[in-house]
Amino acid sequence: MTAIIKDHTRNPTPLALPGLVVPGLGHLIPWLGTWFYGLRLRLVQLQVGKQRDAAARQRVLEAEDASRNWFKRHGDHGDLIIGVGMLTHVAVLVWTLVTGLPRIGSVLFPEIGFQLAFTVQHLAATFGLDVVLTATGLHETLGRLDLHGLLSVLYVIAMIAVLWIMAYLRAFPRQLNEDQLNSNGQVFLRTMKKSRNGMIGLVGALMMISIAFVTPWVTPFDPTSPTAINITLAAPGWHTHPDTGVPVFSLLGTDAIGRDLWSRILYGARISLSIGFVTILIAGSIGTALGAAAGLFGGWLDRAITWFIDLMLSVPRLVLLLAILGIFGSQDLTGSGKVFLIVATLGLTGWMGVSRIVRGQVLSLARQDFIQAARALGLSPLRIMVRHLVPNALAPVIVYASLAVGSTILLEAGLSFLGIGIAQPTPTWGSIVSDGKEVLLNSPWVATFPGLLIVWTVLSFNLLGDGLRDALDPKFRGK
Amino acid sequence: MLKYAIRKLLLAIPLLLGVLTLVFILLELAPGEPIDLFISPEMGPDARALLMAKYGFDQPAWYRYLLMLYNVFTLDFGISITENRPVLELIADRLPNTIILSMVSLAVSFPVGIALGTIQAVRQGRAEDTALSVTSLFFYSMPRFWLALMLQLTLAFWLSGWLADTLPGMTGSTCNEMQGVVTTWCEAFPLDGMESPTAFIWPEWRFIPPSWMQPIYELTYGPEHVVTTDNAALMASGNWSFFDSRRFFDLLWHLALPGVALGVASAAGTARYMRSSLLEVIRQDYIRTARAKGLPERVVVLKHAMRNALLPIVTLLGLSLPFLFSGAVLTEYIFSWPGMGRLIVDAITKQDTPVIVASFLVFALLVVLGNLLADLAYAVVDPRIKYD
Repeated sequence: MTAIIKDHTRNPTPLALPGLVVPGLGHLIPWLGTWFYGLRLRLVQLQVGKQRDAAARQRVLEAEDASRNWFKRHGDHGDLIIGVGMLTHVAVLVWTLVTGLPRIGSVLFPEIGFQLAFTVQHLAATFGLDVVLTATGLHETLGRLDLHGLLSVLYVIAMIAVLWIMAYLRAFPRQLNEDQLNSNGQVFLRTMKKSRNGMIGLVGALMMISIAFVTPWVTPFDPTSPTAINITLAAPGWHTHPDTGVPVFSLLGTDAIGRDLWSRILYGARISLSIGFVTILIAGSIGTALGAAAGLFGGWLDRAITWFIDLMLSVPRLVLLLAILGIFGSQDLTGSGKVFLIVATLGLTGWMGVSRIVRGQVLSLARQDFIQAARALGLSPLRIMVRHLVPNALAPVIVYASLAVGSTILLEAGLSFLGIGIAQPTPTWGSIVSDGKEVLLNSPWVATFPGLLIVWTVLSFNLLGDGLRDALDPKFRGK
Repeated sequence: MLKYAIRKLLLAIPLLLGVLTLVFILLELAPGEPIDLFISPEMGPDARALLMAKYGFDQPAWYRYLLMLYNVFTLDFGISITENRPVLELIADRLPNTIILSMVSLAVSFPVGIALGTIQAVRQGRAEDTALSVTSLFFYSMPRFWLALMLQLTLAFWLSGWLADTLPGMTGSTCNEMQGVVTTWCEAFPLDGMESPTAFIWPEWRFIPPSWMQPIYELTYGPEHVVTTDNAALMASGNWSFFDSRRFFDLLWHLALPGVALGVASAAGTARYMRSSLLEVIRQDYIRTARAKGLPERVVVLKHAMRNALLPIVTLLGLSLPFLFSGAVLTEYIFSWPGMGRLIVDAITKQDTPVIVASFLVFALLVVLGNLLADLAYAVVDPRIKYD
């Protein structure tokens, strides 16, 4: 019985899509259709599992077979369905992008000009309400045909392509032989998919990254200037612009200067996320190099590096960062200079964990036969390190990195909160919370919302790290 | 045991020397000299050179390095630029407060974390486990400073307001009247600070004790219930002690929110760690043996499994100290807790280099000592570690 169910999942009749079952829906949203299809298989499985005896189970399966045969008898136009569906969707998408998101619209047709969209204002304008908005500052300086907008368009296209590929693979799973099914990559993918926490974390992190990418379209106001709303500490909701009398909508309210919080928080997401990733890249490379060297060469080098790791770990990282930024940050650094200083400092103080992990991995790997063989073949230590040790020691580093992205974001938020991070007009999550601290009792929304976003992001990366550990660590496999 | 402790202590010395060297290198790399802060345009052309000579900055680097080591070992950290007091005095003022805050939060968060982790491991895969896992991960991912702000907002502000509006003893005029004298009387929890501003306040109406508690109550707060002692006057009279119950309770009351803000993340981390540690132990053969002997599950978990699972937790205790102090910096900043964290943040915003260096060293010293204690504790609880 199990074998039959397995066959169902591995070789689904690819084209019996709900495009036929629910006419129209499948045409409009092809991947939704395939998801329905996957869901139906799952329901069949559940029904089969619920049946008391073998005969009843067989009946359910036969009913399923019969419905699939019905599709087969009536012609298998799946390719056509998916193709038409996708074309329809392209049309819908283009229409949406051009009309609904004038940011992109203005990239394609500069004469439309810059209108604010994806917001309540736009909806209101669609229904004939007289909501006129003036965009100022950053939005204007970004211009119409800017690299930013183009990159964002490319990003949306790439995301949609990924969705379609996923949907397609779901509908037509690749046939794999036993070897391929049990290869490391396949086992990783299977375990990763089974890990609920990991998938939730992955989706959460991807959502956050996507939001950071599309920020310029979904933020209606300039994050650094208060002129668009010009009401200090406005609560979330509708307000009347004090100068023009035009109704304006602020999704999350405004801060003590009158800048729109939604815009500030979203631009802050870009800074926080990029600092998190770049820091991990720096810390990861330093840590991997030092750890691998310590484990591989041993002797005095190992002792020296281990001692240095202990030394760096004996100072609380936040205190170390405070001291470094306090000593070096006195110069007037411009925005990007300050970002560079902070990223460099975070990277240079965050490599110790990676280093310890890699050293331990290398020590246990170095005793194994394939390293002995490589040594016997006369490969240089550098080559052994780069080609044999590091790739094998990589799994725990990836897990650590995913957890460290979260903790770095927390740390950077803490620095900005103390006012020692990135300078003021640039929005970062920590500095927005810091702004909110001053007005916490009267206007709690200023401090609350960026904090929630930090929790979401860090939680996602922690969950992702858990899932990755389950999938990458052989100890947890098969559970 | 003593030998082991001494050897560990000796190993800590090069570590501290390393920290000093790190500080020295940082200061050498820093742009400008600390005396630049003293120099103003009207001082004349040779003022800089004179000041350089006076503070020894014209000496070669190795000389200044040795001088710094000498100064540190004679506990001479210099004089704070902004406060114009010896740095050592400042630190002596602030350090106990930081230690109180972090140790109390550690002492509460670790047992709580261990208990939660044990519950999760025993109920692995069930609803309790899932709920606790999600909750602990949620708090683990939360910025401490944000949690602190939310605690201030909800427990210190909203709850106080609600209490003032609803509780019979605190309604309207009573509360306002009292507010005229002592503001803190209307607070459910204090917004910030370390002690109540003008008086030791633990007034008897904060909770009305049942009659059978009356003797305990009298014993605790003294026979006269209403306490209106002036803080400064009492201190001046010398007729008080740290464990003076009123002052002590006042401190605990002020400690509650910062302690929770600081401890929640480490409790969550401990719970996660304890869960996996206990799950690993439960799989061992000796646990199966204990169960096969027919021991009740409670004894198996509490006596056999937990004792072994707690061993790595002791290491975690030492490792968590840097994070705890990092968190203390932010928590103190928010709750205006007069500790080391506030000191270093203030020093940085005012560019007070001697204070920065000294606080840096103190934190390093605390972590090294904490790790030493954790090492020793590990040697005590794990009989497999030899004391030679």
